Amino acid sequence: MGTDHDHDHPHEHPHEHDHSHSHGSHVHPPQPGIGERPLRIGIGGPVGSGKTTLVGALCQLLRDELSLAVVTNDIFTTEDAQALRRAGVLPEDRIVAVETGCCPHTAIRDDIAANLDAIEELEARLDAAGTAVDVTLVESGGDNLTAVFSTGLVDAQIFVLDTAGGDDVPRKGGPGVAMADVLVINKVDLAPYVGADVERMLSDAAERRPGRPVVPTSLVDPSGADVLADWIRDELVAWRSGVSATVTV
Amino acid sequence: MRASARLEVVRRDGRNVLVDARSEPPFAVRRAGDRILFVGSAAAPVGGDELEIDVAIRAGASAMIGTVAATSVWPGPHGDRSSIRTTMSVGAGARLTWWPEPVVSIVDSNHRSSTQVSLEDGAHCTIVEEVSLGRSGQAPGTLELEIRVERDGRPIVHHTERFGPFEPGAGSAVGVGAARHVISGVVVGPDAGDPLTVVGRSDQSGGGAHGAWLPVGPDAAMVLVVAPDRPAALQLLCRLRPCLQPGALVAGTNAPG
Amino acid sequence: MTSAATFLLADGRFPAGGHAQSAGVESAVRFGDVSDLATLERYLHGRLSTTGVVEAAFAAASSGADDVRLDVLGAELEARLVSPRAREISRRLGRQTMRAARAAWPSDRLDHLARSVGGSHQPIVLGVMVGGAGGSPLDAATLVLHHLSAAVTSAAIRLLALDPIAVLALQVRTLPMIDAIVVEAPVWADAEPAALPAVGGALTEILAQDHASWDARLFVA
Repeated sequence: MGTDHDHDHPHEHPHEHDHSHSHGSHVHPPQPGIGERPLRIGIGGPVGSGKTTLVGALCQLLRDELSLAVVTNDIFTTEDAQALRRAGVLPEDRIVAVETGCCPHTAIRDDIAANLDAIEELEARLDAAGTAVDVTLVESGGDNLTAVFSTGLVDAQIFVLDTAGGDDVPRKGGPGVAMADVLVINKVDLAPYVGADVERMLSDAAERRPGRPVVPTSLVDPSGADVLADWIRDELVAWRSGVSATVTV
Repeated sequence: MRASARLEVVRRDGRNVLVDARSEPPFAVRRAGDRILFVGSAAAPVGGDELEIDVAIRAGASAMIGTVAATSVWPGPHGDRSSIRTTMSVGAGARLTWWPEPVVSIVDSNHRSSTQVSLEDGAHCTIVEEVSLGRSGQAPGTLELEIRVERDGRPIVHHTERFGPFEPGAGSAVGVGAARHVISGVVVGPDAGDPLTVVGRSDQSGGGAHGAWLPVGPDAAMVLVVAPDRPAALQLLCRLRPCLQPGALVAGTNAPG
Repeated sequence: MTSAATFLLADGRFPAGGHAQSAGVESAVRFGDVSDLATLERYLHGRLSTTGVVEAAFAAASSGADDVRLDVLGAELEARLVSPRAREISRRLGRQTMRAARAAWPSDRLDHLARSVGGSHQPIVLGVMVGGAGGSPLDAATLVLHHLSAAVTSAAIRLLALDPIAVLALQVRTLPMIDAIVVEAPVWADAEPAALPAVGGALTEILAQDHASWDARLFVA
């Protein structure tokens, strides 16, 4: 038996959150605290910016060392499932699609119940099968710059922009650009063809989100996501030690 | 007019014996080979009539019950509603197939049909109700069809449907759309609860037939088919469940003695 | 129940995942049944008077029910959800509502429902939540039909780009139908579960099951 807790001093290890109510003795069921459940990472950004490609690349880079699960709000067809299976990205039973009723931003931000239910069911099913999940990736449906993930749904979020979407987009800002834990400027290989000034995008973004990571990528090869895979590894370590702040890339 | 009919089938000396077959006009009960058939006069039921049928299939017995002809439902003089209430009990290890000829809802009629089935342990049943929504070229009347199947006092399936041009949403995809023939069946027994759920469709002129075999439990399913006419409905039913057709024997049924 | 609590429960933003539920409209649009305001109105009438009545009745019957009655109500409602997909979606929506309910108006009865394998059915969870908030069977029934009307009409707006102001007028025209249905709520509250309404539609079940096999669904049901 270890040292007794000294309740006069602040604790430094993770606690379960006990949401007690004043309604007599009844208690809202305690939610698993930091580190006690899979790390959930949201991947958002406008249509076509490369979210799905990024999810695929991260799965390929991490699947041999981490147990991964994916919940996608992108419109998902059996063709997509087959393509993932053929590419060997992730087994189909680790991917779940959630319908958003034509409201992709609502589903990740204002009313997260459907996504939360799908995440918990998927994590529980894989846990029961003996393959407990380390990291769950949640991919939003394509939306505009104003969409962000609720902190009730994910523990950290990546926002993906691309050079072909316009090099003035980081300057326009918006909650996605400002609040994401990591901002990705994707498809830098296309910049010359679309006349995009990548340096300007990076400096505009840095202004919108001082001190927080901005990562240029090209995902023509999955290795282009190496930096982000490392970031996830570090996030997971921090998550399991009970630290909720994200690390720098 | 009120009338009732009662049937009881028991297993005796290796045969299925019809021990009780009381019926009042307009009902009469006839035997035809291995089947028990109700015969009703062509003019019944009429608005205002209340009819009751009580069927008991005792432990270990088997019976196939139907009707000789389609039952046309007619309007009464004051728009009164007619009703048929059919109560069936199927004993332990017994088997019942109940498949009357279609009920034809004639324009301006108002009719309610309720079929209640209680099963005991190991009882099997195939219960099929067919409805023709109007005679050729005519609109239907108002018709309510209720089917409830219970086992050991617990509900397996309970489905009620209202047809007719005055129902809210009449003609929409909530009910039967533009279909004029509806088959509603409940099958309890081996293979009935196969997890495979089949949704079929046949595209023909007149809107095509749509139907589904819908498991409601490990050994029970409801089948629903809507179609422009009876042949199209029966054809789709046979595809959904090869080959469930009027006159098909329930597995293990022996000819009643 | 205070008016303020009622309005919170009625808010379309109530976070129980309802925005992704079309109440069969996605199927009906593809089936060719709903394409404009008139056919939307017809569909809404049909849905309110079938699945709406059943869900409203079971919500009303659940609002004051004890654990024993809740179990019987669950079995009776399950028997009325004929297609496997309808049963699955009802439990999924129930789980989603349960999450919000336990945070907002926790109760032992909600805990009891939460212990059902796969969760409890949506109307029953909603009924118990409303009861826990101090609402009546009438409140529970009305909320069910209010949310059903919203699900049908907002799905149609998104899928068909219908004028939302014209759709609002349609919803207002439908209010007397809702009032006429929920008048039964006190009867349902005390009724034998087996005697509660069971009215449905063949295509509602067939198309709901078909929807489960679609590629690229926009709505969950």
